[in-house]
Amino acid sequence: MKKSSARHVLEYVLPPLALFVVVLLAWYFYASGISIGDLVIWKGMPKYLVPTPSAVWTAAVEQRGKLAMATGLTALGALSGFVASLVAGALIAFIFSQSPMIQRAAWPYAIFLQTVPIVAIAPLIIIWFGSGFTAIAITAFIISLFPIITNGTQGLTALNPQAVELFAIHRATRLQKLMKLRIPNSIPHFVTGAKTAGGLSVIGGIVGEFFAGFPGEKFGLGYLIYQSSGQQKIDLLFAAIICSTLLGLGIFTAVGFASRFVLRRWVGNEE
Amino acid sequence: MNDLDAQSLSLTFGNGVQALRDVSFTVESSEFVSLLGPSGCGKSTLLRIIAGLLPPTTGTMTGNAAAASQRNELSFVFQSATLLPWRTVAQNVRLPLELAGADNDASRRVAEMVELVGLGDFANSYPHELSGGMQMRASLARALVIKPRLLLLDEPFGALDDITRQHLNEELLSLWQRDKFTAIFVTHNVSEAVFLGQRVMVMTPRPGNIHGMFAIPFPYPRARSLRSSAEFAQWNGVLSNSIHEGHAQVGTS
Ligand SMILES: Nc1ncnc2c1ncn2[C@@H]1O[C@H](COP(=O)(O)OP(=O)(O)O)[C@@H](O)[C@H]1O
Ligand SMILES: [Mg+2]
Repeated sequence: MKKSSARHVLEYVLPPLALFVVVLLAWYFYASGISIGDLVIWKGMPKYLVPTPSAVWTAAVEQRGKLAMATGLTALGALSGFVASLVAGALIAFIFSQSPMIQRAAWPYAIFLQTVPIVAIAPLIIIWFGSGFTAIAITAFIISLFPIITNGTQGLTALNPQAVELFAIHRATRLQKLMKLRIPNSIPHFVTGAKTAGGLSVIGGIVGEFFAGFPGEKFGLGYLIYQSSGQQKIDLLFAAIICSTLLGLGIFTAVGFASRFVLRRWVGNEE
Repeated sequence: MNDLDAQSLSLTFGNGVQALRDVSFTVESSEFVSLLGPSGCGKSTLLRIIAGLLPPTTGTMTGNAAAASQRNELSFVFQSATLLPWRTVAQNVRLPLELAGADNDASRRVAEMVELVGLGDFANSYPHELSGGMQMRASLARALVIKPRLLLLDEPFGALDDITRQHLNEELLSLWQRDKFTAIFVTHNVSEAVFLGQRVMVMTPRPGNIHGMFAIPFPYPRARSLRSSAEFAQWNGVLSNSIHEGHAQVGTS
């Protein structure tokens, strides 16, 4: 066990770390230029276009309060929206699976969730619910709902026909079939939906706020990006972008871990 | 009274395919019958009618074991093991008891059944950790855990290699001799039909019909050595001929 985890670090953690250092160095020389003695090989980029990594770091440290607040708010909003979409999506998928009639009736409106451009309704959400946490959460909720509904409905209805016959032969009640066949069968599908939705929720939360952004006393990464680009604070903008990426990565990893935990027993189904 | 008495069963699917026409036969209590025929001749359809999963278009099923499923006396073994991947072997075997409202005795029954099919060491393994033959053993244990009066098997060993198939044939026979259920075993493998059945019903296609009925005289327990005897080879020949005859009659050979 010990040995294999050491190997895991070597195989999966070291390469991306090495690449990170390479990218950081490339960025640094791209921004600040390369010269050997008096010979200028590359003169670098102007500060207002590409800041050096150290400038971004300085800005991040100076503005750490603002960055932490924005990242925290976006994380909290996106996560709340995501969790709400899991609950609501599961409920809707369950209703759809119980009645093909309801499913047919409601399907076009479910599609609407996926096709509506989030930037178009973001202003409306802010007008209705105000900026900040609520807006982020609602945008994240709307954008994560669809994959949960589709995958969930699929998981609750796409059953192995022989398993259905098995339950029929042993005279399973509707409730038994739901609890012992439909729901367990749907878990891997829900997890697939959740993986997609988790990533979308962060993007939705940031994009929505970015386009509809006006300042409240509290704001998230979307508005911070909007504001720092407007004020030509390119180093803070970079810091905010990095925070967004890290947040996305964090949620993606967390959902990945959660799904591995949930799917321990479903291996035969999934892979 | 017979366990099963099928009279003039016919079935036409919604798309107009006539799968069975005028099928009649009887099965005695505790009898082991092989149902032999080429793919597409209606074997699975007939088995589903017997199981009550599919109503015949015309004809009747009577007998002590008719509608056995309504008394929880019927088990079905499918072509694929059809184990629930999120349940362990023991939990899979337990399923029919749970559906019937498991009593205190359930755990003991499950453990005994799992042991009996040779999966004692794998009771807590998940299906994907088992070989195809072991999965089928678990499927058999699940079928037998309710002590069925009637066991229907639809080409259960068709996907297994020959050696495993022969092992499982022998194990199935010893389970049958122990529990004395009535068995209808569907196969398109001639020697499997001969090795297992007290009787072999030969089916022919388009539409599915019973072409011949043969009593196989070998006594039980039937040992592995039976397969290499001259009489066994003769019976294989007789049944192969019957199948080809049936094909010739419907003009498809
Ligand atoms: N649900 C169905 N709808 C229409 N035709 C079917 C259906 N199931 C089986 N058939 C047809 O009925 C015939 C008998 O099928 P089946 O009972 O599965 O044969 P076997 O089990 O002997 O291979 C085949 O021609 C098959 O195509
Ligand atoms: Mg078949």
